[in-house]
Amino acid sequence: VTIATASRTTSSTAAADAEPYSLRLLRGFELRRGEAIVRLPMSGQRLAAFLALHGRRMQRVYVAGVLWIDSTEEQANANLRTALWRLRQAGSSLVDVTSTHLGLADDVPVDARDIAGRAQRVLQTGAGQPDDLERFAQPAELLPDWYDDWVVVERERLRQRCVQALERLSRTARERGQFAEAAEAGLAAVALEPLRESAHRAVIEAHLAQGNAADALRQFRLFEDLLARDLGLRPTPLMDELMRSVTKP
Amino acid sequence: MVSSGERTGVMVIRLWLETAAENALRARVIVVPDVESREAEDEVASSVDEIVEIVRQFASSFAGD
Repeated sequence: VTIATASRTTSSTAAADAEPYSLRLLRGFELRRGEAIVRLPMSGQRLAAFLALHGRRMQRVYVAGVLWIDSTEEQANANLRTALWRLRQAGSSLVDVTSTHLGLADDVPVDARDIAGRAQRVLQTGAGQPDDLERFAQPAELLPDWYDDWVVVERERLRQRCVQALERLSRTARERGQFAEAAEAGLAAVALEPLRESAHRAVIEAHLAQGNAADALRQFRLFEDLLARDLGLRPTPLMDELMRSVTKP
Repeated sequence: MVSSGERTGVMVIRLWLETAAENALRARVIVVPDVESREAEDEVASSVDEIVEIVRQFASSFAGD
């Protein structure tokens, strides 16, 4: 892996300039041009990540106001100009800029947007790609250690979409008779939120569909104990109904 | 997010409803007492009062009360 820096300019070779960008936001910020990592100062990283997560053109004044929320409007606009200059030093084709709006270039792939799009497709169609399950299990890693309000909101939005997509994948797999995949997707949803009853029900339904009453009961007991210990509550009547065939004398 | 001088603490309150339950509210509260430490603590709650109490304790502890 080679390292490029934000000071890289138009003096770079034409071949290098033709390399496409890619932006990774899961498990940390990483901008690449081809195979080379492009180093950016923090202000440039924040601007690139903000534009990437929103995925549309935004007014400059809005971007400045959100990214430098504690600054005066004048200072925020100055900070934006500096960050933008640094980003464009890294590559003039990375950001689309007008006098009033800016956005990440449409042809820059962003891993978090890819996952959000995949999750949306699963929720709309019920069907997924082979590696969806593995990818949906990692949304909590969106820009770890970044605590800006807009990052926290996007992290939660992505996480929620992935939990719902995992439950949907579980249902689809179960309906297709793919019980191991159904249980695995349900368990991935449980891992993202251990107190979410619909995630546990997805696992239990997969076990029951396969005829594994003991596994279903084990999962139920696990959830029942967790709910009692953490919240002093019992599972809902929906869960009781699901378990009736297993627990009736 | 709350900030005190150089120190910043963050709290995320994740709410959802178990609609089939009589007591439907669920919350997972993620507390980061100091973002520089990168250490997060989780708490869970199932009522508005419990959530408010977690927020109160966090703010009090952060302020050194």
